[in-house]
Amino acid sequence: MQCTKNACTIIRIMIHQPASSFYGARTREFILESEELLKLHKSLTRVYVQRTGKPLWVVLKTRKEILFASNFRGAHSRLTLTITQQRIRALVFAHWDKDRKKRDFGHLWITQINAVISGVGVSYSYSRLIHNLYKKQLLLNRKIFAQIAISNRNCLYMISNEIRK
Amino acid sequence: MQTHLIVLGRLASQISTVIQGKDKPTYAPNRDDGDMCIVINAKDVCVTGRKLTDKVYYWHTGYVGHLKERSLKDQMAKDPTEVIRKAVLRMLPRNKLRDDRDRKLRIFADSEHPFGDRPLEPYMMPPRKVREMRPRVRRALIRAQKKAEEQEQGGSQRKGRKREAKTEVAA
Repeated sequence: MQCTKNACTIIRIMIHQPASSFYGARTREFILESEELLKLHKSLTRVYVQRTGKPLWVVLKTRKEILFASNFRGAHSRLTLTITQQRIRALVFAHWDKDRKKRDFGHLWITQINAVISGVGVSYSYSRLIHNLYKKQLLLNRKIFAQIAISNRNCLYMISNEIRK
Repeated sequence: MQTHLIVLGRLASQISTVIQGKDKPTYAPNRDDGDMCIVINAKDVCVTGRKLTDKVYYWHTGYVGHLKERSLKDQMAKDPTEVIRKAVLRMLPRNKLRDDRDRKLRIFADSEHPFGDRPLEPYMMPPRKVREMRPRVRRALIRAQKKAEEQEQGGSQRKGRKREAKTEVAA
């Protein structure tokens, strides 16, 4: 192994994993395999500590951060400074997207329900459906409605007719 | 889709809905799943008001001072399919799927189209409420009708009649 003063060198190590450990409920062998992996991880970090002279906790932290960014494109998975930047961005966007995801799916479900409901008849639309829904105090939400619309359109028509009355 | 006696904008909005696939419950915004739309008799599409003369299509060529324009009438004379195509294209969302959706739209000025051998479903426009005429337009219409009647009857006492007609309409 090359001697470089940085714990952030990327070294790719291929580990031989016999296929038998992935069949069926062979938990005991799986546990053995995972113990082997942990031992390997420990010995590797000890090598890093020895070679770079940095304390163990530093090595562990940096290796973890590099692992996070290991599938990023180009310099974003190779250079130290950019790794830290891109890691922060990735985590921020993941957090931000938690709310976006709720919004995006809601939007999608509404469009899908509207697509089916507008075919019911003249001047019947998603907004009227929802109004009737609240009037009759039905507890189904848009996600379920959208699933019904995709899989079983007649069922949705039946529900909407029931609510309309 | 037959465009005979259908208003341009209403037609275009329906077409854009169909092309985006928004009338299907399996709609997904990242996927282009709309139906192909074949529009025939494009030269018979209508517009309301004075748009035939007054609606102008503008475009800029990029050179300084070269803002070009063309009115609806001239565009219909030149290429009637472009009118519908522009209308629909401008109603589609401006994203990467827009060009693919443009390819889904086939417009023909006459009733002939080369897709005769494929299974085509005719599309019915959803029914709409036509708003009732504004008072001034209605008065103008009545005046025009009265004039047509006068001309049929022959105008011997023209001036008197005209004054009569005016007072009637004002009341």
